[in-house]
Amino acid sequence: MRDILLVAELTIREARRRRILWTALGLGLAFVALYGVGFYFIHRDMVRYRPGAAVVLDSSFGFVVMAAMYVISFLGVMLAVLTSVGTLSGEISSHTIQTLATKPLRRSALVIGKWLGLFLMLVCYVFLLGGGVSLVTWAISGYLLPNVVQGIALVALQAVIMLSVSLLGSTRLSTVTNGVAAFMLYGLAFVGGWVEQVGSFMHNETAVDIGILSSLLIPSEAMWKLASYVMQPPAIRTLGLSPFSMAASPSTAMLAYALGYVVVMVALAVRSFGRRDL
Amino acid sequence: MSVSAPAIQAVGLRKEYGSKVAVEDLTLTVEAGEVFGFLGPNGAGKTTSIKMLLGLAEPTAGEGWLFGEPIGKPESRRRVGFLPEHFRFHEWLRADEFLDLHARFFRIPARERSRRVDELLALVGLSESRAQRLGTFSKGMLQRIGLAQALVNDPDLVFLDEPTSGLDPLGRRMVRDIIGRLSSKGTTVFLNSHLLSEVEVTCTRVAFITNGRVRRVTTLGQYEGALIECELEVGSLDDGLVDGLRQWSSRVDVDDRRRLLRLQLADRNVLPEIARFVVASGHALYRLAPRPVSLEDLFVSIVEGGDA
Repeated sequence: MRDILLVAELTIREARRRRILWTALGLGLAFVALYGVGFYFIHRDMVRYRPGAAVVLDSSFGFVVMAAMYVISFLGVMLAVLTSVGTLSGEISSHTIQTLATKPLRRSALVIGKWLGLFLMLVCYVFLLGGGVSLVTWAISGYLLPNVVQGIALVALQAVIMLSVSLLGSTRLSTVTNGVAAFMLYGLAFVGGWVEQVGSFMHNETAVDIGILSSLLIPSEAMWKLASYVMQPPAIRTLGLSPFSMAASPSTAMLAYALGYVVVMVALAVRSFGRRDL
Repeated sequence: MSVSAPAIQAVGLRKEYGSKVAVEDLTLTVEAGEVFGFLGPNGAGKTTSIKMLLGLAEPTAGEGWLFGEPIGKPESRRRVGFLPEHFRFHEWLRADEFLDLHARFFRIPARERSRRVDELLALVGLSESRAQRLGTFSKGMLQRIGLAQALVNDPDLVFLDEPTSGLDPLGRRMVRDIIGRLSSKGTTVFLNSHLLSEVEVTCTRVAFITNGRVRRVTTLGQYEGALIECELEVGSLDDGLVDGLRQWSSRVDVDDRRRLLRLQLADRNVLPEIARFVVASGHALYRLAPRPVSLEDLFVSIVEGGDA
């Protein structure tokens, strides 16, 4: 356990030293600030020119925050893949791994420690951005997304899924190949998600099955769907589709599957890295 | 494990990469306290052998132990230090942070770590660069800090894979001095080097490896049991003499014109017997001159001759 924490610390220290951490945080804060300014003007005009029932206003605000959440979920996935894509393969090809792996520690400590370090940074990042956007919205309009903490946690889980997949790839694939593979999988899940969504709208079972299959292959998009389902205002939920809301929620079984998926990916990464020559 | 366990023991270690055999059979024993040279041409399997012993590469077959602990297990590396051939380290770390970090993997307490880091930086002549990032280090400096890293846990066994490849003559002398110091402390050193002159002055015993197989293990130079070459100058030459001498030396080079014979002997204790034999067989003996076989001669004869 001590070795795992030490490797996690090393991973975070590396991100800090290489200025990845501060760049991501700085730009993240800029994102929240820009969103705040934009939302301030939207809010002002909506209240001034389109006074209406609170329910309509809330739904409109909800739509805007969800758009921001969607961007955050995408940024989370990007950051997850970019930070982990070469984390093992890069150290193997540069031989820096040799002095670490010959210390009296298990190979698994290197994999799990790196995962843990990246996981902590990623989750903090998603919560900082998601929380920032939610708080700015609340401060300006008094509106808060329903189940916002759960929702952001699901957005973070989506990124963690990508992190775990790309860490597994990084045990065997070169950095570029792994990056391509990770983003292709993400794209697959994305398209699969939409096929399922449209299929369910049009009652096409084959399309729905294809969507489910892609979610089983990689449940990242399913976590975004679940997140947007739990965070959408009740009015939109009853009205039906919007680009950032879901008519049908993925089952909670999918959540359990996603959590298990992460565990399995990390376990496979440990196994794969444990067996390769360095 | 028991105190008397050899520092390194390998039995039939083999490594295949697909259909390519990188190491065919690594069988050797290095006793605690030895300075052991590991020699062979490029591609002979030296680095792969070290990787197997250190758990970086899993052997296809065979077994090995470091101080009695099975190789591959974390426990087997607790008393071990390693300077890899490709000495690349996390370039975003400062020199002192780098050493401190590696010391932490050995669970060395903080106070002792900081003392150890100071000592090691001084030992490799990098005290003044302690706050510098490794990314700004020259090749020679990286090799020095790598050597310090290999000693961070005050190991009982150090693997040095081409430790002087990036160093100037002063740096080489520093490495030689460090090896000497380690040796006098009783630390076992496993030295993989191309520089035979370096091996000749530092090592007590060497193994030759070609095509992934240990061809010969021999004691060096001034040490007991070292291989020697002996030149005889005789009054006359005949087949009976040459054949008779073969009982001590499988190889007898004959120089008819100057009436010289060159023998390779495993043991200097046979010299008086040889002298008696030459005289008793009716030949005049003008000169009998033993000298240690130079490592270079040995290397060339083993590499070119398959097995000498």
